[in-house]
Amino acid sequence: MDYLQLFTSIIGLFPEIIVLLASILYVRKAPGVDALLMVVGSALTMVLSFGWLIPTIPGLNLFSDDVLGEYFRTLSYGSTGAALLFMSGLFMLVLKQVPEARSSSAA
Amino acid sequence: MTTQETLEQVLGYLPAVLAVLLSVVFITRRVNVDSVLMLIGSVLSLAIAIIWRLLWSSLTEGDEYGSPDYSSILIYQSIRSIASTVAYLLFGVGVFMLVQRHVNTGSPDPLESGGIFSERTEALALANELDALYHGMVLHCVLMIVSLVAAPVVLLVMLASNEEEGAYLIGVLGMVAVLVFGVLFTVKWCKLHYRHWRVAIEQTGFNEFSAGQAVGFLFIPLFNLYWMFRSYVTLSELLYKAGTQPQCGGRTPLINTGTSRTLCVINLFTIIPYLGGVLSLVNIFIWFNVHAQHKRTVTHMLRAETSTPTN
Repeated sequence: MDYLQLFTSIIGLFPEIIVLLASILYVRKAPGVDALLMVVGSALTMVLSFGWLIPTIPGLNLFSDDVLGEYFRTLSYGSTGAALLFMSGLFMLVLKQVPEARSSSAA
Repeated sequence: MTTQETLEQVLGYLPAVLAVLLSVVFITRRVNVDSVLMLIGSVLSLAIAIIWRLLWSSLTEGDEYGSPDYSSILIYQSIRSIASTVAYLLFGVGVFMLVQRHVNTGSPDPLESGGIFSERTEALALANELDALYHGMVLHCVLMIVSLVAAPVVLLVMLASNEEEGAYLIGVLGMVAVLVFGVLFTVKWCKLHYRHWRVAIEQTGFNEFSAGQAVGFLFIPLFNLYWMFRSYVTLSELLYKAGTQPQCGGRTPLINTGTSRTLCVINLFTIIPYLGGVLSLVNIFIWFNVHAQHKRTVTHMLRAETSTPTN
């Protein structure tokens, strides 16, 4: 079962790689606040995903059950923060792409 | 439930809720493939999170002796993880396409700038791009099917010879290959179908729905059974009509509207258990044939246009 968890965790990294690649592409072509937020957010999410992956590696018992709960909680807060950073950048990009949304939301 | 637990639950939903709101803002302003993918991905992601929360209490309830079935919990967790990955993958591909669209605005797409036939070089470049997209789509589809068939066969052989460690590795690599080729195939197909639609709209002035809607609505479950008719049969009819115009070569187009109608009718029957699986296999070939016809007609029109001398 450990292998099943490891497998799903590895597969879960793919969307994050795509999002990180998109953010890197964006920051290289059009550097700006939105691009930086997207890169920082997606890179942090990616790094934290490896954190989720570590306890699922079979035979690697780094944490006791008590510490594991706290570890996952900290990761969860970190992931939420990273996702919020990414979403802020993406929201700014969407506003740039559809300028009419900005005027109507301001109104 | 303590305040901290409530706060954690709310925080857990926050990114998914924000992603849905963001996608709704985007799709209400612009309906295209990227906005549709982002909306479907974010809504699915939120739905999975909510369903999982509801399921969790019943899973951890335990049997008559009060001990939860940990093996079922692990299996459900794995299913949830894969479903979330697929949802997030759709969202990610949508974001990628949005970013690509945004960074390419410096060198406008001939289709986006309007008047694809205004510049001969642009029309020729578009025809070449359609050829490349079609061949890329076929290649990635073949690689995806090979991975889908070969990985389980090798896995079963290795399991039969008690090589469990290697079998798991093959399983993981096979799934990774299927996912990667599947995403590349989907992106190429979306772009190809979208561009066919843009050319058809440009040539015929069709205005019942946009090219983005024609592609994007194909991702809506069940509704796509109906939308296939609108997206494929209408496109074939439009291209047939456009291909007979004098400026596009003026000869009978290389397209048969009956093929796309057959594709859509067979697609209706693919929801039948077991028989549907066999029909889907047949439909894959028809589906490729329809796309080949569309591509042939569109590239013929674009190249005919570039070879016609202007005054």
